[in-house]
Amino acid sequence: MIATTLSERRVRSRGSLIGLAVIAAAGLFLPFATADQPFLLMLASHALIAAILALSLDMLTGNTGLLSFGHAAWYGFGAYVAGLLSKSVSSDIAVLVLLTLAATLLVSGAIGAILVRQVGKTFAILTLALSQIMFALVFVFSDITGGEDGLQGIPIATFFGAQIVSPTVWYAILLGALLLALAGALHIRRAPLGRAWLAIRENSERARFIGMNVALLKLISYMISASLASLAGVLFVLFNGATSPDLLHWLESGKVLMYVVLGGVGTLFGPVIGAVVFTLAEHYVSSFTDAWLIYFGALFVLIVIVAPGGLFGGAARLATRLSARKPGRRAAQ
Amino acid sequence: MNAVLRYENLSAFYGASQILHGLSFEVPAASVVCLLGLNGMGKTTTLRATMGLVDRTEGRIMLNGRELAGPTFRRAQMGVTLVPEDRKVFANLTVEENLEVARRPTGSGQDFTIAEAVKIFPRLGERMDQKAGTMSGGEQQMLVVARAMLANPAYMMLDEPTEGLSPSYVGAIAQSIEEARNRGIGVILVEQSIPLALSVGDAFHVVENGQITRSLARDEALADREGLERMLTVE
Repeated sequence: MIATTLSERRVRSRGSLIGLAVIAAAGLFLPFATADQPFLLMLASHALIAAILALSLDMLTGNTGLLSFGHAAWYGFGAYVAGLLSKSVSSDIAVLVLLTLAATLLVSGAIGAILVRQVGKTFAILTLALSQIMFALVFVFSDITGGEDGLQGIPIATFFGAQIVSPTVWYAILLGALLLALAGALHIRRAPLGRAWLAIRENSERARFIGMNVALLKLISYMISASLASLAGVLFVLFNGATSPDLLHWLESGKVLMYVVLGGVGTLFGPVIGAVVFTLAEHYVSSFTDAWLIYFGALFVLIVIVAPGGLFGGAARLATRLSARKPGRRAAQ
Repeated sequence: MNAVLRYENLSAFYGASQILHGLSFEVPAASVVCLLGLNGMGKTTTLRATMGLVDRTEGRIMLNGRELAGPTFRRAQMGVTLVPEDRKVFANLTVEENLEVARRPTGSGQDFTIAEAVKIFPRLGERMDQKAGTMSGGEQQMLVVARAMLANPAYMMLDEPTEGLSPSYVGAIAQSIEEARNRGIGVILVEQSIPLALSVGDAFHVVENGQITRSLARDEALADREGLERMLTVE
């Protein structure tokens, strides 16, 4: 039986590899398909940033069950820190990523140590409060952050002295970052750390009974999640050349939550798909009607009621049902 | 020093209510100590106090000469674990994931393994890829006992592990308790079923109104089986 289990595990692992390969192939194909439509490549680049952001929230909510209503706080934090550093320290993308992630780990560790001791609604409300505090800080320190106008005049990012200007190169960087983040998230999910998080999500008291330091494990999840959101922020500000307080607003946090719920909480692939679908739909639907948010709200309600597992969860359930119906498969079993 | 879990004049409180009134007893390694008594007498509170889950305690719990104190996870890391009455598996994890997540290697080479758990509970082996929450109550109980043993505790506390289970499952639970004892684990068993308690117990304490009112060795308990059963019958 253990052998069967190992084989099942290999199948699951192969499924993840196939999923990564599909995303990589689709991502690599896109620049060729959009060669004469640069706007589409730009839109796809924004979708990739949104996907990294969605994955970051799933690393928290999907793994430990901690629901954040203010996840954009770390997205905006990353964007502002990287933006300020690029104007004062270095424009090298590697340096900016490393310095910003170090700052994020430090700050999210200090804040998270207080937050993760709260559960449920209290945690969610505190995360919302955190994002609004960060939003307010942009205006308090407007001489540094640019206030309502946002942080403008970000130097063009470089990599070992070479300027990164080509939209295709930017797209490749964003796709690579997403694939790396997703591969890392999948690896952690299967590692003892990921299993421990899932146990905590299921029942934190029982997890304590078998010796898990629940607060520490939640803090690790929070810091990793914040760092990934911050990475999305770094990439956004360097790609976009500017940032604004909107990145920290609770509406942005709501959008990230919608990516995750739409795709499927806890599925890792789902939120990535949810973010891409949302970003594309947002663009196209909003070009037809100003009331696009109403339609999205209705879709959100529908997904929560009809398919609580989101798009990915629903598709996976459908695939399982179809494969169970195949007569050959049953006979083989 | 002999390995022992010792309760020294333990009192426990929920808010202003005192539930335990100076309990003292000990659980040697590789032994099964049964706490018997009617519902509401303080047996479960004794176990919860051991894990640091009551509002306040007085007295001490000593584990191999060190005071058992601190948050629940720290006590578990010191070597005690609790299988509560309400089971609660990690419902959305598979059986195998439930077992893997509980493994706490000691590096002694004597660690309890998943293969050994499957030997005691073959049903778990057949359900390895099944979501734990979809199993029957008896299977879930097997899983939580196996999960507790995989943490390689020095002491394991079982709170009415056979409540509502069919005889075949009760036999498997009894076997797991024997296995734990054979491995040197001390077991505290809170049980309403006198037949199970007598089949595995080495020492017996009757708990009434938060106090131990009677302590019996195995021979004495076997000789007074009817008296014990009468005591657990609500009139």
